[in-house]
Amino acid sequence: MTEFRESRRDLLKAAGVLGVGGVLGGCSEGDAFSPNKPAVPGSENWMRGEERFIATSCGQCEAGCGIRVRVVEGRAVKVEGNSDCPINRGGIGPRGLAAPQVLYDPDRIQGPLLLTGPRGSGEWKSIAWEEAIELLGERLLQLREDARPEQLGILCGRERGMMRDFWERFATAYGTPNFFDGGRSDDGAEIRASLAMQGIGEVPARDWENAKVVLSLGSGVLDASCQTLHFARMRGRGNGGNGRTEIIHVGPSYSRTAMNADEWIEARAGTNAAFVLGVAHVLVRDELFDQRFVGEQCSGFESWKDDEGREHLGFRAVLDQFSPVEVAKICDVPIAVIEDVARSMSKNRPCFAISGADDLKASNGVHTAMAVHALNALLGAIDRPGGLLTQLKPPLAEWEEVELDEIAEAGLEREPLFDGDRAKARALGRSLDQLPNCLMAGDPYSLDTLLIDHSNPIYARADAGAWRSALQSIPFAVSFSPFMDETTAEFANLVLPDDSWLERWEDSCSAPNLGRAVFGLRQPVVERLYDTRATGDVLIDVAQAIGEGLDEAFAWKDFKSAFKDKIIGLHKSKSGSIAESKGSKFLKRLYAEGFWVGDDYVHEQWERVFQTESGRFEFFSTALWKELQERAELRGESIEETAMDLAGVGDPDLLCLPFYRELATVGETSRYPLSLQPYKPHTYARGSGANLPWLVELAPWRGRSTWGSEAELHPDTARVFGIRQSDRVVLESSEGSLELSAYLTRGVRRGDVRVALGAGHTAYGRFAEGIGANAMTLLSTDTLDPFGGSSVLQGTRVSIRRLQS
Amino acid sequence: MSKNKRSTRRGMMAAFMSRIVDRVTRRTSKALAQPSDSEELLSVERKWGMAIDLDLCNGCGACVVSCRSENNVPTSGPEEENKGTTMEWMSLLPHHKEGSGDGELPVELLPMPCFHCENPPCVKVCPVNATYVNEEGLVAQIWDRCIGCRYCTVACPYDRRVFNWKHTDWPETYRNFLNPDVALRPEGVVEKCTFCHHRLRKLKETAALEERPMHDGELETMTACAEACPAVAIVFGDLNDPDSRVSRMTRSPRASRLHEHLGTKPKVSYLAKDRKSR
Repeated sequence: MTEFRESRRDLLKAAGVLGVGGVLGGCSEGDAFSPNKPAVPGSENWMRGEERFIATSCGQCEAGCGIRVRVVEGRAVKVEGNSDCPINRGGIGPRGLAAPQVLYDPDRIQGPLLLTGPRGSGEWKSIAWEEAIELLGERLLQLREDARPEQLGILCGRERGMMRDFWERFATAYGTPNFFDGGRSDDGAEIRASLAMQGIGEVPARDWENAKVVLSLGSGVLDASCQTLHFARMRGRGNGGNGRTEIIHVGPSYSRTAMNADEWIEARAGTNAAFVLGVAHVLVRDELFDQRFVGEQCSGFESWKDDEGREHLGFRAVLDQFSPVEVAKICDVPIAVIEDVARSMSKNRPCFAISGADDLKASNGVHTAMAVHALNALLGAIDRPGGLLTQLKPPLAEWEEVELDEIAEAGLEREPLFDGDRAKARALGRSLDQLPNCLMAGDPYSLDTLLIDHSNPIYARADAGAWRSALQSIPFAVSFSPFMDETTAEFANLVLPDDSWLERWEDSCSAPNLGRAVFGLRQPVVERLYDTRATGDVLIDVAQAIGEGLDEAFAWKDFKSAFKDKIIGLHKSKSGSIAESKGSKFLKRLYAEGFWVGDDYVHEQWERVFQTESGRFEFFSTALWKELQERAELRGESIEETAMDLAGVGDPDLLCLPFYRELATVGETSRYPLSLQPYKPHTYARGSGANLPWLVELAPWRGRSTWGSEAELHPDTARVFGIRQSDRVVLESSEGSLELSAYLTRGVRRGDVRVALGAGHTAYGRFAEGIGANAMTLLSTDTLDPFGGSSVLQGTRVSIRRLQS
Repeated sequence: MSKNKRSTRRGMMAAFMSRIVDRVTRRTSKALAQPSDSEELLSVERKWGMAIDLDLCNGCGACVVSCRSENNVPTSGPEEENKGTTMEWMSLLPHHKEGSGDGELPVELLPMPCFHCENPPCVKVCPVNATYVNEEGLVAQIWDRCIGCRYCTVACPYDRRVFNWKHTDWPETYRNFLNPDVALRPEGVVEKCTFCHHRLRKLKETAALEERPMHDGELETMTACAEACPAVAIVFGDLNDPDSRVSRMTRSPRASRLHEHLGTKPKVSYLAKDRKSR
């Protein structure tokens, strides 16, 4: 009570101050309730109360929404959607809105750090940038002088965009074949499927606006997909403006997408391929599919003979095995549902099916993605309005080609550690999850230095133990992270902190969205807060420090100049939204508007859309067949043996066609009775949302634990194990165990347990550290898709027990 | 031709002058007709309201974050969460169809701002007039006047008022993004959604400077939550204007208000989900 009274007195005092100060248009300094903003660099150039809205592109996910940042007196105060940007047309998701907390995170790394103690000791020494660059430059120069440039590894987690290209250019100019593309592991399976069937190494863009129905197969389109926001807005405008796009969601749990869908079809986890093939079966059986498209633009639908005279199966033959009766058994859904979905989709065209990135991180991921893609072809949804489009790239100019010196040439000739023949023969499939093994094998050589950008494998990847050993085996690691994440804290010898995305020049690196080309500009909205530097600038300086031809390959003043060299292509293309004859005027408008958008999409340009060998949509992927053959040769066995070894399928033809294979699991059922389904909550923000309290407090909704992790399970499952709501429980897998609290919900199938990803950091600043549990630590990489593509997420079995209090 | 032009120009001048005269006289007459008692003050021209289309909303929570960012609403942290004293003006609350026993599934998530009721129970119980209905029908709150008795939090049937349990220690760097347009609230007062009245004021000022009425298009996304909503589910506007989008949405057969039987007359309507069936 006394406490209350005291605070009330304080309050009255404060009220008095506020009362006076408030009227005068500002609070007196030193008052506990005034904003009391600290000085920031550059604020002296702003007038008191001056406010500007600066157009840029959001950097919180791959959607690439246009935003306007409200900057008051040199401080970024709020993010608002840019209503002119065609991707988001005004709205902006929670992740983007949380951007000020990225910029002003109290635990950002404020300057270059050099490790002085042993790794993981946290004994850092602040050093100057010149010193840091000299240090790294000398080390890299030494590697080249010793003629072993291949011993430099670059782990780059950027999916797309100029900075990714910049890193690749650095790797090439330096002469290392060990550029590890970490960014593609999220959409890996989908990209593999698109590459196999269409010859396009990118996920398709989706025309939500014109689609009547969308069949979501375990996708998180309205949870944590890379473009949730874009999808949400387009769905509202959907059906060509005649209402909204209808969503049918198939999946094991009541996700946010299921909640928002018009219909949720509860199906067993990992059986989506079967469901899709069941739908396709009905379409073909009842001749409801787009026969003209299949006849004119597709190959491999019927059985066929190749040039060597070998008979191959066609898609029709595969479908014979997937009658609704069979599929209903596999997926645990009523037969009628499959028939209904097929008829509804064929009736309500245009429509398309979409698979989910996380759902595809399973042992049968690539084939599930292929099945979904095949269904889209049957529905005639490829490159038609209301279907899947092949994203056009903005007409950026190319940088001058790198001239390689002898050392670089020799280095690039060396066998890459990750996808060299030896690595391929050693392990099946190609997924970044196998990288630690490749690094540790030391065969044919091991790395000396690793540069880590936009990547935190110790936290975000399965089998952190393997990653730890692999990183430990590399003598020198450099991190470019702006935050002290796990990988940086435990393994970096040198930290060269990047600017936050509100402080640097970049493109928006957005995932396919509209079909037509969009270029999103990212520019500094405030002056940089600390002694950090954009990684692009650092690379240029390091290249200059090395010399030996790298200085010529990176002969720019700074990254902004390199960036400008590229965007001049937009101007020269004389197309799109910004038509200016003078280059300077073009740039001025681009900086003011924040984006450039190309001309309208032209449908059915088949030569562009189908870049397969046959120039058609391939139900039977000849590329996969070739890959199988190559692999069989590498391993010195017949193609049938390889097929058996890879996927337990005797007929290699089936592996080149959309096909359903049972989900492989780790952990025997008797010991680990539950199947674990880790998922990304909608605030996941590339796994980096945990240090943003606005996002942490948002998920999943009020009344549930937000600052902590929950094991979501069915009340019946809970009863079996004697667990009640909110009990503390322990989940255990063959890889490790986790402590979290139970949340009972009928939205999870009996026998499953669902855990949100993104929590359980052991570093990463005051808001993230020690909050919740990280489900990735339960996963084993034994269930990788033999066809590679994505990393692993599905297929781990766990046990659960109540923690005695 | 030239004669014609001149006449047009003259016409234009005349129109311009008459507009100015009009404005002046209107202003004067308005000032003269200033209502003296509070009863008349409440009979307003504008009636601000909101409609939330649950068919479009996907519960992403952009409104919640946008509200926090706009209105300097602090996050609470694990400790406050355990005590149940979290702070939120705009909440995302799960709506369960049947009961809310163990395992029941929410059918949707409701974004819940203050409903700015026409007959607000919270205003009636406030012993110090810290909360009141302003001249445009908004349920406003004077932070400095609130004594923290929390009668209003009890009276509000929608739980749309939150008590500020603790002094927020903003990390030094976080102070940078505080919105200078919105005062920070001291510990021990009740807080609530203001329908972003500071943004409304800005809009009014802009319209006045540009000598034009506010148009519905800019009002639709006036509040921080509506402006951020990626699905265009939240729409703000004038309920007295029958053509405004919010009015049209409110008249939809799908529209309803929460706990209408209580007679609070909330000014926020929800448009029910429109699940398509095959």
